[in-house]
Amino acid sequence: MAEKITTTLNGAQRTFTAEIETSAIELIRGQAGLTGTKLVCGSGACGACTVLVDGAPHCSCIMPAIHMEGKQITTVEAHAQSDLHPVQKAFLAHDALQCGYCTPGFINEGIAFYDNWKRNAHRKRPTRADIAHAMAGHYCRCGAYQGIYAAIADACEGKYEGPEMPTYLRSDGPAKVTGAAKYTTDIALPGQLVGVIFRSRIPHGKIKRLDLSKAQAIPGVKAILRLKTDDITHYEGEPLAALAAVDHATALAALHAIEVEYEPLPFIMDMRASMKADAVQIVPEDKKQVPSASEAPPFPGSWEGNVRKTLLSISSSDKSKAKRKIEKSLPESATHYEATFVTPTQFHTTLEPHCAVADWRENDMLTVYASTQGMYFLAKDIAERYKLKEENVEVIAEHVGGAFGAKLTLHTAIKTAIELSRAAKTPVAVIYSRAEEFSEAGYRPSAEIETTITADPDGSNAAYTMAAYGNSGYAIGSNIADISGLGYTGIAKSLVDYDVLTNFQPGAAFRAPGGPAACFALEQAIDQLAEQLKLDPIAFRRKWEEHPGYLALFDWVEKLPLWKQRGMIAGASRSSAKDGIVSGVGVAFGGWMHIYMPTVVVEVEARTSGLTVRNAVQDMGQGARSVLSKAVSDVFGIPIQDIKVEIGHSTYAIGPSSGGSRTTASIYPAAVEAAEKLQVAILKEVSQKLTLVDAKINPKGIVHAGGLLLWAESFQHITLLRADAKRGHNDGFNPMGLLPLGQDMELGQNRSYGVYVVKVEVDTLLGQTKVTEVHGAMRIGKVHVRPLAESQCQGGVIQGISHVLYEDRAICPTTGRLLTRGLEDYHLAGIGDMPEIHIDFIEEGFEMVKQKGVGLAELCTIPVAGAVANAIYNATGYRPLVAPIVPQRMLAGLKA
Amino acid sequence: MSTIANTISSAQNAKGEYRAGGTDVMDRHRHQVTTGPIVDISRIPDLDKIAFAADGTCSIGALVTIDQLAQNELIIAHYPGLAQAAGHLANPQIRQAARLGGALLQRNRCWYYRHEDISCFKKGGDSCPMREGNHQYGVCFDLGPCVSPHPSTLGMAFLAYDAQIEIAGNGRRNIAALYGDGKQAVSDHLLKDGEVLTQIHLPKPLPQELASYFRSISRAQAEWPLVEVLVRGSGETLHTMDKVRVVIGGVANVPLSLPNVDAFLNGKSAHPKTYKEAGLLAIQGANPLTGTQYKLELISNAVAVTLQRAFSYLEPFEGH
Repeated sequence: MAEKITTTLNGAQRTFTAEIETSAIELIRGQAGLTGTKLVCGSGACGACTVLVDGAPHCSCIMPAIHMEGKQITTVEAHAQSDLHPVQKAFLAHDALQCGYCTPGFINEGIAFYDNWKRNAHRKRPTRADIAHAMAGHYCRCGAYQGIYAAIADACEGKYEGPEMPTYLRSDGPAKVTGAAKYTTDIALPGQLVGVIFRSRIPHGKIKRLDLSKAQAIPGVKAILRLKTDDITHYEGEPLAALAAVDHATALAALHAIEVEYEPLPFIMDMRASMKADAVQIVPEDKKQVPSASEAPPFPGSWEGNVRKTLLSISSSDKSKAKRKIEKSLPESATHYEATFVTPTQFHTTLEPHCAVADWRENDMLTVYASTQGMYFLAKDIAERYKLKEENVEVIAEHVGGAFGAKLTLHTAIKTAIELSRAAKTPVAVIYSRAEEFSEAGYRPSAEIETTITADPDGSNAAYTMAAYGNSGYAIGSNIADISGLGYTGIAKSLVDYDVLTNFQPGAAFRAPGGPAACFALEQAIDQLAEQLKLDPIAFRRKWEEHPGYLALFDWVEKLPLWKQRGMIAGASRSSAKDGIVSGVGVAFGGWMHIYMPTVVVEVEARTSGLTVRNAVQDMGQGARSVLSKAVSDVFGIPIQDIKVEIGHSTYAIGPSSGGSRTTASIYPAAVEAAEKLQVAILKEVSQKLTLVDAKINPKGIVHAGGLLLWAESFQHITLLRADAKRGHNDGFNPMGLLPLGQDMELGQNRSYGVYVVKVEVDTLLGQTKVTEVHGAMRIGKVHVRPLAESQCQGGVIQGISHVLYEDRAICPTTGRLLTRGLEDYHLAGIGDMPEIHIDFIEEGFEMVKQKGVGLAELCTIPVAGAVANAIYNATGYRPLVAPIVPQRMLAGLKA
Repeated sequence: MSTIANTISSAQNAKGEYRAGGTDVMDRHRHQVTTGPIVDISRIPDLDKIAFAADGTCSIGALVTIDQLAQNELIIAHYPGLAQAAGHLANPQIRQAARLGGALLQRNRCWYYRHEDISCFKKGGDSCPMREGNHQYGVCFDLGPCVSPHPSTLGMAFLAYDAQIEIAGNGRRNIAALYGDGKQAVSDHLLKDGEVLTQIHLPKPLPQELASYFRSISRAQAEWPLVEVLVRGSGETLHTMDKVRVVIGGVANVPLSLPNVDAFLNGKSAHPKTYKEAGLLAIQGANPLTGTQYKLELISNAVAVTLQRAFSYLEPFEGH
């Protein structure tokens, strides 16, 4: 029965009707149309939906709508009605956000905290612990916690009172802190239907019957279709059918009316079981049907049972020498170490789920709003798949709530929305629930990594072999051992990758695919061998590494006070372990490729109103907008905030997909060049118009015989001028650039290298590990937007910590079904787990690259797991071979 | 059909599951674990008070929020362990919304129970799929058919206080009787349909009440406990632990008292060695599943650590 509710919403008295079962968020987003409030977990665990109820933070996803009766409800939109709230301004100033999907929740909780603090503690600065305790119910998957700490502390101290705006980098920052930013989940087109997916509930089996007729007959169901052509389901969550209905309740009722009968087939969830000679064969006859979890085309391979061996390794070097050395190496000797390392799956857990709104109109015109990290190529892929003219397809993604690799492709949510819209002849939205997000949106593959390393007794002539068995579920393309070879140019190595099929959903590229796992294995093996040889870990590496990138990092580590105190920290903590807490320090290095897209075109235009920069790129939180505006700002000397950025439409000038750290290295140089071309055009036009004498370009504007015309002034004399520039190739000969990587990607010269030194505290009684300090150095050439680069590193660090310590997928051994399907059971690192992080950049090494800088997002997450593991060993003497290093594993390890 | 009950008697007569703050019920409805009618009791008057009587006892209404309980200065002063437990459960937004009654009567957090299309004892089924399945967060005191730990931190905390619950029109009973011995598997508490929990009554605090609450988790905060411990006792006699109560959660399908540990500690000097011995005693009678063996060490260590935090104040100074 519908109840009438009278409430004060953002200061205005409103009346709504809602069922007793209805949640507050449904009313707030639906009837009130306030989409700043985001639905993420639906369980009160993540805080994205937090609103203020009489000033106190509540999760609107689990708050009954009828409990709004008589209350003052404040959503994020309320704080922007006049000036921004000091907390919002502090978030802008400290860049305390990336994708922005969690931001409204943090803002509301932050404001409640600020109000309390002001009342009770006046203007004292809150500690990190105070803030962590208050923000315990919020996740930021991008990992902007460091900025959040600083922002809330500064706001509480009274630093952002008054009407003036702070300076900030992100041109979409104001939209994100006020809830105005529209994500795909917020799109509401006239006539838009709700699309839902019917999924397999068994890990392997034959679909004997799939009857859609009863669902189809339900009033309000406007389209229904099968998503699978064959009758074998290979994993739980596999999409079988989809339907579109007038509202969510009808869609769910119809979903329940779908009848299915399975004939279960034996399934394999465990990788080792799948590798056995007598294992059930789950590989199909046509092996090409097995999907790929990789963002790049998979290397050639050969199958044996459920196992596919990759036949190409681009990173192996002196392969036979490595094998020979390892064969001769004596297992019991100090010069030899071998171990099998196990790394876990890691779900991307983007706070905005996979989603799309498709609008297939007459004359085969198609607009798709999609949560994507590759809109330009997505539009092309859509046109190709649905046989549409490229000019008739537009993809729009103004804001994307996190991606991390999971949204590179034409994913199921997009395909389903398109096909349902085509069938229903009206717009259809498909938005994954959190459980669906865990069941079919990809993850970082788990792996077992057999690693053997040897060196001469003095540490020289090191060599290693690595065989990595990746579990990408029902997919191939894990590629871990080969990625390990991106580092250490001076070492002989033989690397081989295997993919082992299991009946789990296909994995997907996840930030530096293969990198963290490879590093966890290799960096621990090096650390261990150094200890066996009684060598300092850095001195050991110096024996066989001469690449200037590494040498710069070695020097940096050796100067770092935390590294110098390493022995003392571990020793002192062990001798006086209070409450069983011991400390240690560890180091790990990583390397990544320089990838860019030479075909990128950036457009810059000048109007009387100012400058606009434009490109078909997406901003998933990495800050593409700020990179573009910074490039134009660097050329024109105009504040970033004054430059308009237009991205998020596939119809704009050619943009890169954002994966493999290619975005910044592609768009920044093109934007600089376009801006410089625009200056020339402005000079020409303005000097003609104003008949300037001896006019020339100057960093500040146009100098001429009569003085200086500032750039900002010059715009007054322009109606519209536009210039564009293509990124083009780097200087110099680059044979690696010939590798066919797809999506116009090119592998550039040289590699980026990075290092982390971390300090951990291990509770030896209760098994908990806390990373307390992280110091990093990244050698990526010129850093174009430093605060953004730092934010990337902070996110990379906390995602790495989360991977190695906390995130643990659980599967039922008897039924093969996934059990960790929500944010209560699947543990993401929270603000309290965020260490203090200090990042240095070594701005050299990429002189041949246009604008001399390369990408960072992959590199900065790679060494985390290895450094944490080495620090744990340093603290405890226990070498953690298996991650995540959860308390139960730590206790077992310490005992052994 | 769902209804709103504005009085206790209308709640007693309504059909459906009671909902107060909604933090558990709404989660289950959203995820289609529960689909039946709801009886919203959040508007019943006068159940949102914390009242201290002249004799020093305390009554807490079932609609008091967890945050009220954690922040109440008198609770903090007189029942510090209870305030600590309330302040550490769930997360700040849940503590704002969740009510005491719901915290005691919430449904299990088992990932099988919470799976919308897996059947189990608690959903009218005939098995506990966790027992043979993935039970890494399961019980290590295997008391009955269901092997998922009881979810209520406050249910455990009130055990240490010998609290009584009041049922509208049906008098008082001990908190232990709310949960039973774990042999029944259908529900997470023993209230009958139509029974409305209205108040919790706490006896007088101990003279010089000392207490500590601890939860063992993998991350820094906001996580369901692997093991949780509450210790309280009197600090009246210098150096000696008195009237000690140790209770543990996350380890059995009901919250557990540890009378053997209490008896061992009473009258003993506060000393780390004694805490350690108590920790070992705490796992007497445990019968872990294959995947929950690790919890025994956690219990022992967590009990020792919590005793230390509660009683270190009493420890005699030992010079070097």
